[in-house]
Amino acid sequence: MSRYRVLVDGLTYPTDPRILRRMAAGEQIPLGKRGMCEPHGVGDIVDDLPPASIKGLTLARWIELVEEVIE
Amino acid sequence: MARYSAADVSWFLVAGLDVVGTLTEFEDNREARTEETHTLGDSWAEESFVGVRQGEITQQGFYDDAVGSVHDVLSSGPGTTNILSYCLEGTATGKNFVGWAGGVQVSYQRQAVRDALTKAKATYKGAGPIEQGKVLFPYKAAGSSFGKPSVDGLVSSTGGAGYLQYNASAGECNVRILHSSDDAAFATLFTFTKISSGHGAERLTTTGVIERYTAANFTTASATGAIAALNAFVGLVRTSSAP
Repeated sequence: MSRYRVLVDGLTYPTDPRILRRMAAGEQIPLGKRGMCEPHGVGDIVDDLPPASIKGLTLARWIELVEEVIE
Repeated sequence: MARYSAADVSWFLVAGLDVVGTLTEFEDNREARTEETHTLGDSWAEESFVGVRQGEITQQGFYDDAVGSVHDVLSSGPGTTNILSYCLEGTATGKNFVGWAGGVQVSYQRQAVRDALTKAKATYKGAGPIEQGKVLFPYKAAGSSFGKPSVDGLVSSTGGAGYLQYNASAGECNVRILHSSDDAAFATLFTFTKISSGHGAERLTTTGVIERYTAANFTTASATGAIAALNAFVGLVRTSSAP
């Protein structure tokens, strides 16, 4: 998967594919039950972002592309 | 449209302490300062708003000298300025709350009357904005978990303020307000000063963008382990808005 540099403090997101599928299907899951990852700081490199969030995070300048991987 | 009663007021927080259990009533008044602007030749008086608003709260209830109760809160004043927070429309996550960036306690009265319980009364005047926001975490035991339910609001590009009120018996805890554009990936919006034992309140401001979804987040400070018996309230005001 492509790699991104975090540009904001405390970036956190769910990483469990099952949770992501349930959220993509419109299910409301409380934050505490999403298995959120440990918060990332500015400068961290991540490669496990929820695919549906990447466009919005990039537009908001919360992340920037470091290495694109075509799968 | 809905109507509300005293039962919808579950807490009244002053510097992290909840005194609602001693109160029988409180009034919050806000008014605009005006100046008479009628002149010679006018047949009616005319008042014009001078651009300054002010607020005042009067609270009344039973005198109680227990630790953390109303006497504990008020006896250090008058003259003390505290952050105040309360709700009139219910206190669940997502409900409206009123936050006073600063309330100067201007009086404290105790009243003993024959054939009656002793009463306590206090008055505060505003020292800064009086704002309305959304409850992100109602005042209750916080526990330690990654995140609380998120609150859906409108994106605000002109900033806002985060409120924290807490009362803890021991330990340390980090409290943050998170925001997100899609309710999936969250970043830190506010990081409050690390809580240690005791009580207090903090208001933080930003002039930047606040995304659509927001949530309160509690994590224990690993150096000292879990915080014991932490009661906390977290709220968010999007832009400075009067209630």
